[in-house]
Amino acid sequence: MADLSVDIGKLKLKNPVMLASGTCGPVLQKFTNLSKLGAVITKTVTLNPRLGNPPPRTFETHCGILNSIGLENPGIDTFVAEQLPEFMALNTKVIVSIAGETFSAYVEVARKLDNTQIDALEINVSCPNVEKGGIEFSGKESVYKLAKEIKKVTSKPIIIKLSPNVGNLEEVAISAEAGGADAVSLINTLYGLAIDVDTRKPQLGGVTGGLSGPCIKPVALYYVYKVNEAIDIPVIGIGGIASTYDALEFLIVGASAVEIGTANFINPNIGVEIVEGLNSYCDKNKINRLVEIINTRAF
Amino acid sequence: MVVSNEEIKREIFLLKVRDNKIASNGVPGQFVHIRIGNSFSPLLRRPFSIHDVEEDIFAVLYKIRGRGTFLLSQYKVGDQIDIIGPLGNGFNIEKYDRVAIVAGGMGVAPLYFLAKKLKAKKLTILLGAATEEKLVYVEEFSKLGELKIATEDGSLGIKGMVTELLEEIKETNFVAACGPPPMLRVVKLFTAKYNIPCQLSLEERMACGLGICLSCAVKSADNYKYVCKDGPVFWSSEIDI
Repeated sequence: MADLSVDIGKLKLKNPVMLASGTCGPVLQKFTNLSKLGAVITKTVTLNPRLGNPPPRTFETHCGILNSIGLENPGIDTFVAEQLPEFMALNTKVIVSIAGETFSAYVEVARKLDNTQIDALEINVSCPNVEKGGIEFSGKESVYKLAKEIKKVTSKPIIIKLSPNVGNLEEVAISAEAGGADAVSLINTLYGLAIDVDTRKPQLGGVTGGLSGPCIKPVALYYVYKVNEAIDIPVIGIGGIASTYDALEFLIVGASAVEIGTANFINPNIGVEIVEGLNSYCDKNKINRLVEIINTRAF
Repeated sequence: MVVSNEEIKREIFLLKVRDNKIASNGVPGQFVHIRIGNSFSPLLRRPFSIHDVEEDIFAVLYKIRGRGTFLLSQYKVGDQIDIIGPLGNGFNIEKYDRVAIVAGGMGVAPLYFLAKKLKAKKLTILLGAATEEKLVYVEEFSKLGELKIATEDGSLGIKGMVTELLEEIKETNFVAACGPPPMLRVVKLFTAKYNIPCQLSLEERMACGLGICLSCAVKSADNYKYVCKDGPVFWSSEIDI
């Protein structure tokens, strides 16, 4: 049994496998054992309730999904009172994903979570499906300011979740680091569109959506590789991971941990299977500590 | 494990699977979430209503609509198949004695199991499809209650939409319906007019099937409800359709 533990700054995880925001919840416990995972990340929560986008909200593409959920959530106060306790009872690390429609709303949500028992915050600056509180905060100036302001009101580690839909991701990551972020996670979904040729209308109620799933993995891997070269804080890899092999690719190019998203919809036990797969990989290759393979690319 | 997978009408298949957990726990209106194949294309599971149960075997009725259902039709007897279920909430009708079922097209899928399980004194079944060729379970339904049929081309029963038969059921005290949204809209208005409690089984594009992803949203009075976890069966008054 190898030591699979990894550190994301001061956040200690028993293994690098986390379940991504919007793709997991306490209900998964019926199908898997969430306590075997490194962490679970909640659906993004905002200061005020959000209704979300009109349906249809998802459309399957080749090896991927377009979604336009629109950050539907009950608002931070209801979330803390009604949903968070179930997450805290899962016996794993809990990271809360947050977003805001303004800088001060982001900061307020972070402040409200500071006296809860959560383990870290993931700052979602990259939702492609909302008019306010999403991607407009994903530029380098915004990310710097957000990291700096949120760090002032929280003692929790903060992870900034970056968008591939803006120009230079390395520069944005450098800004996150300069602003005091403990880590960055990438990538959020890619902009996408699908059309019904009979009606000539979009397949999604929100018109455009965010693309996720196995089809985006090479894009995600590319950005993790590039961003890891540019910064010293940990990088968390996200994007189409659906197997142990996929997770290893991300670790090898420098990810300190990974998040599993869309694959949870297909196999609710996939996270645990990847943890077991990483352990087998270590045993087979006589690796005592999984961290020994992080950033060990041979090129 | 697949017990049979037969084309019972053109492009309409009946898949039978041996699975004791689903067969013994599933109630009419619930669904199963099937992973078709083991590649990433199709990627997501596909939801299907539980159509029938006999001992430790349950059935789903499906029409070939795209790549997923085409690949499902290729499953052979003895094949293993990855299914999660039963999921969602079924019909809630035990206290009603005069029940009507309204099925449009593939809307028969959840309603046959319901018709079989009903203990109502009187059951009226309204069945509609584009043509006789697309009607399924005519004989089976006729054994379970009073059956009335509508086809758009008049090839069987009255010529027209199934909703044109609704006057036949205004004396019932519960209506269960499944079919295309325009049909459900008419059924909702009709039952509201006569003050008849009505449940509708809905369909939406679904990803997780467990209430996590919030994909399968349907509009209710002031927020959204989810077909997978709040439905697929809803009281007609709960939702805007």
